Amino acid sequence: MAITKLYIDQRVQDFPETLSIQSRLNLPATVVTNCQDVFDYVLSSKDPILKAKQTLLLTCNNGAFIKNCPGTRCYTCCDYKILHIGTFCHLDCTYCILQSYFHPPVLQYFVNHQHLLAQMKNLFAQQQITRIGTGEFTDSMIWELWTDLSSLLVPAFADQQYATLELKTKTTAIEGLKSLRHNHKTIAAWSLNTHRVITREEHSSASLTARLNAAAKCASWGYPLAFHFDPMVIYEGCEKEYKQVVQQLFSTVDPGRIVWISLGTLRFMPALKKIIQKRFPESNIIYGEFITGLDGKMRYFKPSRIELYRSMVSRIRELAPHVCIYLCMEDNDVWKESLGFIPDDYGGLPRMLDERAIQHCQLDPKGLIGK
Amino acid sequence: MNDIENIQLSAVKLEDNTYRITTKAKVDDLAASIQQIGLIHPPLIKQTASAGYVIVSGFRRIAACMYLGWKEIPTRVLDADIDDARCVSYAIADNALQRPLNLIEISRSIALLSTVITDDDALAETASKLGLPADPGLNRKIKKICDLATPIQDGILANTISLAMALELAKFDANIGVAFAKIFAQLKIGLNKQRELIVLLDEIAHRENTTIENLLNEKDIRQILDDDNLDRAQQRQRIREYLTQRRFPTISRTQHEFKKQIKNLELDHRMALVPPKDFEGSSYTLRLSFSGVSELEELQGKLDRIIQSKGLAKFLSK
Ligand code: SF4
Repeated sequence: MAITKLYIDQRVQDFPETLSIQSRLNLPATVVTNCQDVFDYVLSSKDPILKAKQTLLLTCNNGAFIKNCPGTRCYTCCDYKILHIGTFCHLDCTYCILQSYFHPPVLQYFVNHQHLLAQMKNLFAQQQITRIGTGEFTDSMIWELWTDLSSLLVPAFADQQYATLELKTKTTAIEGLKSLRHNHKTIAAWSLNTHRVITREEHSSASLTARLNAAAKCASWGYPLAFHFDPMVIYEGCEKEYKQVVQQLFSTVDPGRIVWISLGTLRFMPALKKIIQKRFPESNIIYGEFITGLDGKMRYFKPSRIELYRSMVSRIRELAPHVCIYLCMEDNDVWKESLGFIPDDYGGLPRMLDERAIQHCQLDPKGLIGK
Repeated sequence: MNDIENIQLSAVKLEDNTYRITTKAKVDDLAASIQQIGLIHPPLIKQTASAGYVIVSGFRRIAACMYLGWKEIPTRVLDADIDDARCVSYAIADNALQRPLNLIEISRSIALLSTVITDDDALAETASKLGLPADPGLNRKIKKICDLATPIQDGILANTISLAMALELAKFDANIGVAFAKIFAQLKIGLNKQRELIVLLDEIAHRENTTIENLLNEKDIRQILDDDNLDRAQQRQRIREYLTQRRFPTISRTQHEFKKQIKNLELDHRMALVPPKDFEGSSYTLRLSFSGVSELEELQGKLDRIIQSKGLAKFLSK
């Protein structure tokens, strides 16, 4: 989806990043002293969410650039960190939780990179193994079209030994990564789904084949890879189709390059249901057999989740026995039933993933001390 | 207002309902009263540009006089060139200021008013002077009601359909709205259960790539609704169970299996085995009620039976 309106927060109008983005976007900009003007503009639209996807605000992040991932106690969390470089996304997945997460949602990009770099420096100085990603409040790579974000972040991570950066995307905007010095500290990651889910639910995203080809290219440039089957959608015939995705994955990408694969089924806050019904009346994604999870989110009935995970795990293990598989936001029961072990058997999920990161991203194992 | 004039009933265009507010069609009670004490308030009619008259207010009075076989009737006649806004005000005031209007009548009044006042706020102001709601938002909603199909309007009059539900039904195709109205009238269910029924059918239709109309015509559903051997409460329960099972087949199957296990365990009435809500958590709860150690000992044996049950163990390990 193209950006049609550019707003610039007056405080950042002379920042070099701002000037660069403005010239690459080639759009007239409206300078605002109060960002509420942008929210009002978006809210005045009949479909504020769609409008928000076409409206970019360049501003600064006055708070933390590094946040903890908002996990819950009821399900096993991976202790991930979020690098908060911007919010929202111009792709248009029906199930995107960001539609109901921000009030109102606005495509914001934070250009006060001096603060970002300072906070990253503090993080690196802690010398603790950290897995951090930009793909929680946005898609990591959509910004590549108009910004130099990856050339800022990737070399910065390359110069240290304790943290790995995960760039998670549904796009193929990877060309900017090609010539960067990454030192294996950046993981190029893709969300994967079946052809049916991609075409019906992940509007404006790249096809499965394109995503996997992009992943193979990143691998050829030496980047470690990760894949997230999340959100998996349960529908008739889904198991077979997800297994085909697994097959296609391993026929395109060398399993030895993969740091981890996560599996997670669709879950959403109840408020999202109405938004999806209104914005995507043709989508049937919300009519699965959902129950209210212990965290208040809608999620598939547990036995159905286990069944799908089991079949995925067995197929992945057949084709890539040594790849690390983990479940996103599931309890020990589901882990045990699906994978045959619980994270505590290996020191907990964060530990499991830290060790994978150490191995694939060549992090310093001393970073585990005190964690 | 003009003087009273006797006019021929045959000159009145009875089929013209432009100004009709009342929903009451029966006239025998009114006819009896007119026969006994005469027509106290003459109807208000308006001369038409062509010939004859249209009724502005007094639809029932005129119908009652026809019923009594009158050929002539005393009326107040408005000139053909009278401002339409005034006719509308007369029609509404004559009803609204004399008796409480039902929802359909209020809707007709507001719809009528909106033919002469387009601005929502101005309409609300005039409405409030005529004893109608003064809230523009509410009026916008109410206005739609009188365009709904007759069975839905009947449901509103019979109090089986609320304003909120009527507005929801308005979003469906007319035939689906009517089908729901008939089911609500038949099953006599309240707003929450009505909503539940609609949501279940709507979601099943989405899941199964069919339409609500097709579902409502399906044999299984018709069989429940048309079964004269079932009373209303049984029909309500059956239809709800059927739709829930169809909407949530895996969950329903698991619940059913669990109930079967409980039945096989032949639990003592002082024991209850409760699964986690929606089988999501991992803890099952076993409740024992007892009043002394001897009773507890008695239950111990039964508890052992539960522990040794292979069926339960298998169910729990799934
Ligand atoms: S790619 Fe991610 S952030 Fe973007 S719309 Fe889809 S789910 Fe939302």
